[in-house]
Amino acid sequence: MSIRPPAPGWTVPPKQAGDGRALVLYVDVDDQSHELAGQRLRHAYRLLRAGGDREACELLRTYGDDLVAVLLDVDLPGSVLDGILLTRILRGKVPSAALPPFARQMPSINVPILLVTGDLGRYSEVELRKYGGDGLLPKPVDIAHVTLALTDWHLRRQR
Amino acid sequence: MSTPIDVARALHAQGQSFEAEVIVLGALARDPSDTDARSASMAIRRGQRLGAPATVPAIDLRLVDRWIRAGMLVEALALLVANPIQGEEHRVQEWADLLGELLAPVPAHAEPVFVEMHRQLLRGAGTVAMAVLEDRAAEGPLPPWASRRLALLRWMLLDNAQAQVLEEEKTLATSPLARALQPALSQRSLTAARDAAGTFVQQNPTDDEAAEVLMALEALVDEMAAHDHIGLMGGQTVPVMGRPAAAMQLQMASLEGAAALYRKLASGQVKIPEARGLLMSVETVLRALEPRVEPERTFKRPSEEGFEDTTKPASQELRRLAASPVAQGPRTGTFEDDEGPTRVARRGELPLDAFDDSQTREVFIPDDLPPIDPPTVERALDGDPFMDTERGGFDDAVREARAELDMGEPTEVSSEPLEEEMTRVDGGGASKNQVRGQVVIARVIKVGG
Repeated sequence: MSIRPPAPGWTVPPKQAGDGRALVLYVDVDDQSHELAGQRLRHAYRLLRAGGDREACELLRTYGDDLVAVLLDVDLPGSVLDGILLTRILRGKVPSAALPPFARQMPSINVPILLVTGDLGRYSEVELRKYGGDGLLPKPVDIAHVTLALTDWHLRRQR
Repeated sequence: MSTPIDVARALHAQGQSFEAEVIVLGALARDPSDTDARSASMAIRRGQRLGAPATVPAIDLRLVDRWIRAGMLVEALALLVANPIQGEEHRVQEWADLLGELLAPVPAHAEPVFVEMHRQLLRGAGTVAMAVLEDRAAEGPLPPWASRRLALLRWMLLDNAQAQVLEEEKTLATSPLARALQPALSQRSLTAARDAAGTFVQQNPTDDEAAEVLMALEALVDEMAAHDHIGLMGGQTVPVMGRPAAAMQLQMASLEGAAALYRKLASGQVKIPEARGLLMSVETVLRALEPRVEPERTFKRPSEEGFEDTTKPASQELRRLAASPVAQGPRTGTFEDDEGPTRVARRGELPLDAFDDSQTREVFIPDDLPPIDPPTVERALDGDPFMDTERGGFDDAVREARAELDMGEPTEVSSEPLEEEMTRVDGGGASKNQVRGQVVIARVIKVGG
């Protein structure tokens, strides 16, 4: 099996100038979650959507520098990598050899990674922080929760 | 006005430690010399519990309103997200959304002046942030998001400061519940007040505040009954202190006097455990009796021009694309508010044969395979190559399918054929750590370069 990341024909389009709002990558397989999030965050954030792990890796390679945050569904059903593993990869905590080819040589990103779940009770925020996450948000995400988590991140860094 | 640290302590005690921590961080960003905030921050960092607040803070929209006017926007947002304000859910959501927008980070490559504006907002200097934006607006047109934030800041900090003056000139009005309780309290009878509250609750079963006041009055009447023997002492002159003294205040329906005593009992050197609950009950009744002006933000909200909701139901074509095997692999970037994919790939670029019958094998994973818990997977990933990781039988099934699959010649050939293997999990397994159901494996031929 030979794969060249990113494979020809799978490249993402050139960067767009956008409309100036802060760009957030939201990785979730559920279309309805994307739509709700897009609607609720639209005043302050522009959402870049990814439906799974591969697409997330592609978009992170292309738009990583432009992002102010990454929202990851914890479970990501249908993907090889779940949100926790993607978080660990983006924080450089998983050796490259242990990764599927599409997730190798990912750029490190220095923006908050917020994990998203429909079942807050299942996960411990303290545990997720150990994996490199910066917060745990309930689904569907809304602007107040996202901004509060990002504010927490900014204030911690300022200390 | 309740201090942010008192509120943080109250939230922390209720288990809302994240919001409590943000309030502490916000207070510290506003005033790094705030010793209360500093000690609370250190306690949180050490994983210790914050002590109980000196006084039980009244958490309501009026408090949030005062914090916003004072520029304490971070604290206000955290309090609204914690949402301990019952009966005001709609307005809480509305204010939280507006603050969420106002405090949102600026874009990654924004001008330094916008970065400075955001920094000032986080350190509680809303008026400075507004001045920064106004200076920038004088130099040239602002991007739409920055224009809207300037309008929001003006609306929150200036327009509503004027509204506050107007409000203070209004005659304060008592609530219907307060009017129902007043006659009994004028006769200095908490028992009659409890009965009046009971009647009010029966007539207004959806009024949460009335139900809360009724519970508080019942607790206070019970407390009075527990210390009733004081009244039977006849002509004896004995010093009455502590809880009995507070109960005497209750018997005279002197709620302020009782509150002062309970406050001392709750925070004094010899703490009486019940005093805190009784103090909360008295304060609940006192709050219900307060004249109130609804915090109305009556000024016209900033325009939403340029921020219309562009979300549309996905077209059938998009749904078909999203459901197709091709869409499950990498695809072009799609922005949520775009009308469609930014660029739909041409068919020749994507794996045409993915999941065709002739190119696929299906293997059903036995139901009795034990699920693998996430820590096991994590440990395996740390040490071993990924593809050797056992994931609840997933990899076994893939290997089996791969062995069975006789792929034959590629269906598309170019000078540089690129082979790719794709897997798809169907069936009931929602989490890939507990895969159940069907694994489909297909050989895919991609045309290179």
